[in-house]
Amino acid sequence: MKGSAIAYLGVRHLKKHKFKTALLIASLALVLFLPFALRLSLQFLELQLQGRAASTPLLVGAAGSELELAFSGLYFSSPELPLTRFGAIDQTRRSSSATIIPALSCFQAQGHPIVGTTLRYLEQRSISLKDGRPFAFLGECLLGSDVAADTGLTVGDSLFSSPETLFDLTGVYPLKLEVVGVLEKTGEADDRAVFTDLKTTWIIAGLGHGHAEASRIDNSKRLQDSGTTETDTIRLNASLREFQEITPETAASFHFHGNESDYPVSTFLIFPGDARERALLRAEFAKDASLQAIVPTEVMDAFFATVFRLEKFFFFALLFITFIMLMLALLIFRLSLQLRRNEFANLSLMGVSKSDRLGLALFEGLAVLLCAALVAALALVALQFALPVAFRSLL
Amino acid sequence: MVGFVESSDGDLALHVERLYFSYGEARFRLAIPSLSIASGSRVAVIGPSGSGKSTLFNLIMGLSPNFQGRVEVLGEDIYSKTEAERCHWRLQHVGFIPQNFALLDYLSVKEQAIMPSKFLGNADSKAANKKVDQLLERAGIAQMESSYPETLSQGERQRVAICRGLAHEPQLILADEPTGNLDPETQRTITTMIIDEATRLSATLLMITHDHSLLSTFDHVIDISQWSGKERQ
Repeated sequence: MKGSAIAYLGVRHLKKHKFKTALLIASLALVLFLPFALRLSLQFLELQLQGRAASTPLLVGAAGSELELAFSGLYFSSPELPLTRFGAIDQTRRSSSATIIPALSCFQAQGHPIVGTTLRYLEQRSISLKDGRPFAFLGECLLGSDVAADTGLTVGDSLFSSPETLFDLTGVYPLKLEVVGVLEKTGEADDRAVFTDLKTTWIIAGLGHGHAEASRIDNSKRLQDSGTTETDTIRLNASLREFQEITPETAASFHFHGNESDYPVSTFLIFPGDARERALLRAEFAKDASLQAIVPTEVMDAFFATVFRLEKFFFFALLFITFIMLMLALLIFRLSLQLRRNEFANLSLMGVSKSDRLGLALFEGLAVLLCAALVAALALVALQFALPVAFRSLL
Repeated sequence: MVGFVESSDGDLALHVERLYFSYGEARFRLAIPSLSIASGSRVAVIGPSGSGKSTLFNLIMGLSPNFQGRVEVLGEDIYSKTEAERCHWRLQHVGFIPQNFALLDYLSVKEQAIMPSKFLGNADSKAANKKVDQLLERAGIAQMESSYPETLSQGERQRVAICRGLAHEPQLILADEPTGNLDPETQRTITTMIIDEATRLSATLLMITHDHSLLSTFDHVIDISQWSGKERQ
């Protein structure tokens, strides 16, 4: 019997039993896809995280989870990170030649992190402006390219910082941020952040504020009159309007209470001149129990060591599942052959030899396996395109 | 003519000599001292159930190698061939029409009919396609060439099985009770069709039948029960 006739019969049989064939192909494709997808995803994740980590030699923050500090410093993604004081590394700032950039990233605007920092951050990361100018005054902000694309905002527009808790009436008022610039696309987490001056984020935190002058309060709007006649007593009450927007008119009224060195900072990004300076700085920070200094690449290495240990476990689990699935497929195949015993007997009567009947069964099995491999390969290609999108939505 | 066995000095489609075959716990046996059927004959094979009609067909098709004696089909000692060679020989020279139709549920009417030619590697030729089309036309099932077996009646399925058995123009046609499940009217139509096609192809026809009213349409009748029985313990 000709090979083409075997293929013809096999294809006709598979086509006639579309549902069964599709189910078998889908099951096998999934089994083939999963281990490779896991590997591919982890490789991509490692490449992305390590690439970003390598661009930041040293991160300093409050003592706690190294990983959270790394993710906060690199991806602005840990709003619950314990904060440190702005003045915590004042001595280092004075004595070291390293570039030290503070960042506070515990607030959000329209779902995007607000990063309070200095313009040095953008210089250090080589992020240039696509449109507008750098922030220069309180209340001004720059949009990462993805934020601009997602929100449709551009220079001259504004956006509000999100209240931290919707039902917290005593909480921080949302602050209107004016967009003065849009950043070029970098393909990094910076594209998904709103950058503003550190002091602006302190205002969002409620540490600085602007309000109408208390001395000008209309007496009729006072909630309670104590009956005193003291004219130099200024009473502050709910009628005192707190500004939610920093404009040239209101800017002068904005002021901070307390000592600036006690104000919060999520992380200090430190760029030492060389490895020796980095080692010295780490040793210096290690003396302060309230602080931790991490080398992001080391943290990511440790993170991936754990992840890959887990991956091994998952890989073996998947391997086991794959084995079970293949056994099941084999069983289905065998049962299918038993159900087709009459058909094969009839083929034999017509003159189809045993080896050709076996060839027919093998062809069908291989065709299903090949289709499954093809589907799995296509799914892996699709995954390669989907991974950057998924990565962006996760971090 | 019941019990007639044809002997001929001309071309023989089947020549059996001193055949002895037995099987099973009940020790069924078939012992044919001598049987010769001339090429182009139309022979009815009769006998009660279990008398060895299908066994004879299996022997003729090369499916039962465990026997004693000599079986020559179309002038060839088919059992001197390997199993694979016997398969190919069967595919090439024998048109088998089974009682249960033996249709493949995943092939359409035309695909069923052209399948043996496809196996032989000549289904793509225009001539093969034309032959199948003509056969389907004569069988009255041309209009349903794209239909699948589950949508056909018993009579239509039998016609498809006949077309499949004849499309590759075999020299020997073996029909195993092809009209067993059909009504008398259709039985006669189908039998006539098979005989007409065998005549057109100049092929030898052996047909198992229980319907004695059809026997007059055959050249010879073999009653197999004369050669079969149970072995004495």
